[in-house]
Amino acid sequence: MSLMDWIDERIHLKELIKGQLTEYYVPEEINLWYSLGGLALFIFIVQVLTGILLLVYYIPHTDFAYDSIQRIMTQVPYGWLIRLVHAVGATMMIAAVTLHMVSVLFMGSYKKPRELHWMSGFLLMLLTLGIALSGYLLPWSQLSYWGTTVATNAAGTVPWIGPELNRFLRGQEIVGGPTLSRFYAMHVALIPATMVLLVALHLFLIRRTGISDPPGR
Amino acid sequence: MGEGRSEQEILLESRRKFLGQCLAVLGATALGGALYPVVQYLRPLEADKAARKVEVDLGEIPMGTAKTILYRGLPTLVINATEGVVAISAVCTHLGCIVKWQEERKMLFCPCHAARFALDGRVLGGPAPAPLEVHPVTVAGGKVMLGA
Repeated sequence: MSLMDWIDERIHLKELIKGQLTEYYVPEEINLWYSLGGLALFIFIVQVLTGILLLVYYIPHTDFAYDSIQRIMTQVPYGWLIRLVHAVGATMMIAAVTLHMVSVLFMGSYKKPRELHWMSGFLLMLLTLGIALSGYLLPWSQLSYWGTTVATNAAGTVPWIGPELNRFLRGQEIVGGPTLSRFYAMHVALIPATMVLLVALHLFLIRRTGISDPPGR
Repeated sequence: MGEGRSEQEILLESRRKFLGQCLAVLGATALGGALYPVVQYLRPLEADKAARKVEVDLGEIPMGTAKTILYRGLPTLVINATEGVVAISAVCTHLGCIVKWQEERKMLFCPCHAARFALDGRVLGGPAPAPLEVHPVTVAGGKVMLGA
């Protein structure tokens, strides 16, 4: 504890931990539904950690991607565990984020003064879907390939700019090497970095306003 | 601080402390359980360890030239010299750069700091503090074999 005291003497960390964590009071009536945001954040952290581990063996190239995943699944010790936690975690995160949104919507928690929370949460949900979609292509399997073909085709139906948007997403006319490269960049860098910033904003906002009481109290 | 507190307050605090310690033990166990697969995952793969037995086709190494191969995972020069076939570590004993075989001067030369070695590993000049390790080879049927 002397290290903690040493730090505390300089930056008064204990009062921050007390005020924000160990003695941070929440409304009495909250239930399990109020844990979904925290659950989504926990899964996000797990995804970042397992994602970094997968980067050690994954090769983002059309010739090697599939085989590198096979190697992770069959040869690397506990590779199957790391990869399946990452894959199942992606689905779980979408479930948690969706239920979080339903709960907030149902309880009216998005109302003034928490509109900014809703808006940043909306962006976070879009990014969650985007990171899941871009990650889906990376194993470069039949399922990923055709899944991405169908998903990017959907972007092609946007009026006027659809075909151009489709080509921009794919990096060429059809899903191929350039698509894998851009989805990889989105999946491991652009989207997670943006999400970290938005999560920080989201948490800052909820600490500024406090969480909402269930209505009718 | 201890004065003026009721027995119950002291009891509550010691209970809180005990529960906190239980939680710390549980947390440490969970962390260890999660960390074990991660350490195993990151350990270099057994299958990737370079072969302990290496076979090189002598036809790939014309007389007077050398070929760099991996033996026990380390760069090794197989030199087809007039004196016979020599297998010698290519890792310079100075700072670990990879030495090259110089055909015309019949010596091994390190490109980093110009250490020079003879075919038997002796230091001929430069900053190298120790000779290069020479590995025993057997030549049979046009093949050079390293390691047992």
